[in-house]
Amino acid sequence: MKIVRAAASEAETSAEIDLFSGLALSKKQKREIAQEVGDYLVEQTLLSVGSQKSPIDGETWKKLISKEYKKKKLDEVGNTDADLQLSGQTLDELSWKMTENGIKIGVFGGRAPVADGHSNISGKSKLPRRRFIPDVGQDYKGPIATEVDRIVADIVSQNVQDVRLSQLTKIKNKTQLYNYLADLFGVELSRAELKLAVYRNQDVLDLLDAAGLIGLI
Amino acid sequence: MALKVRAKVSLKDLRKVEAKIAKEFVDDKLVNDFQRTIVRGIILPMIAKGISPVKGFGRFVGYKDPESYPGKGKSRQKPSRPVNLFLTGELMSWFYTVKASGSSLNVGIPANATKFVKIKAEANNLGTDVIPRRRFIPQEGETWAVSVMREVKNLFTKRMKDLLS
Repeated sequence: MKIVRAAASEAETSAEIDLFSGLALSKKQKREIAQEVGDYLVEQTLLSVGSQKSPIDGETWKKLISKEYKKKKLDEVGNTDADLQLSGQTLDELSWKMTENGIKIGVFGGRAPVADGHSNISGKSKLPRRRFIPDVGQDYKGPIATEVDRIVADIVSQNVQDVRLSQLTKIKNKTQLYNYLADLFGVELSRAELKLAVYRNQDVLDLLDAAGLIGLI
Repeated sequence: MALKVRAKVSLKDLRKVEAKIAKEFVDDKLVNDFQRTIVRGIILPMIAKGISPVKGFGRFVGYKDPESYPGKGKSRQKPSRPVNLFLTGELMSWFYTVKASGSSLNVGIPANATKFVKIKAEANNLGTDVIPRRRFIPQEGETWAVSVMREVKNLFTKRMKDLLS
C-alpha cells in the first residue's frame, strides 16, 4: 500500500492509494481488493476520528482551542470533542472510489474544502491540523496498514490456480517455502502473516500437505 | 499438534482434523472471546462512534431536528452527534454473543431481553415511520462491516490454530 497522489479541490480532497502494482490480479480480484480495502479504510478513519486521533502514522491531533468554537460546539452538539462533527456532514461524505491501480479515499462533494481545512493537503489551511486523509509519502498507522496487507494477501491467496505441485516439490527448507509463498501472495508480509494467510486458505493448505511441506509452516 | 509440529500429515489426517474442528470449534471460550474481542472490541465501539457495524450502511443517519431530540441545553440527554444508539445505554447493554445449535453463534439482542429492549432494537435496526433505520445487526443476506469481519477472521484463525495444536 502506497499513497501515490493527493488532491485538494472544490470537488474532492483525496488520497490515491496504489494497491495493485507488482501483483498479477484478475479484474475480479482487483474489484474485491478495492471494495474490502476501501470499506476498511473508511471505517478505520471514522473510528480514529471519533476517538480524536489521526489514522495516519506520525500525525498528532489537536484539541479544540478556540473558546468561541468550544462554546458553539457545546451548545449545538453537546460536547467539546475535536471529532470533526459539528454537523457531521464532512464525515458523512467520506468514501472511496476505485482507480486503475487501487483506490482513492477522501471527501467527494460539497464538503471537500472543509476536509482540506482539517487535513491541509493543499498546504493553504490555517486551521489546527487534524489530518484524516493522508498525503503523498505518508502511511496509515501500523495496525491499519498491516490489516490492509492481510486483506490483499487473503484475496490473492484465494487464487491458487498458479500453484503447481511440481513447483512445490522443489522446495526443501523453510526459507525456500516462505520465499515461494511471498512470491505467490506478492505482498510484503512477515512469516507470521504468511502463515496466517495459509491457514485461512484450505486449498493452499491441501497443496502444501500433498507436497509434504506442512511441517515447514 | 497435527500442523504446528513438523510432522508430516496425510490428507486423510487433515479430514479428521476438519471433523474435530467442526465438532469442537464453538465452545464457551470462543463465545467469551467473541464477546470480548468482537462485540466489545469492535462492534460496540463502532456503534458508539455512529458507524454501522453492518457492511454497506456507513454512518448512522443524523437526527432530523437536533434541537428537539436529544434536546438542547440542560434538557439535552446526550450529544446530537454522533448518533450512536447509546442514549440511555440500555439497548446496547443487551448486545450479547450466545452459542446456538451446532457450530453457530447468535450475536445481537438475545431472546431473553426485555420486551421494551426488543421493540427498541427492531425499531432502530429496521426503521419505522418516525425512526430512521440505523442498522446495527445484519439481516438475511447482509454481513458485518469489513472491520468486524477482519477481527472475526483473525479470531477464528487463532481458534483453528489452537485446536490443531
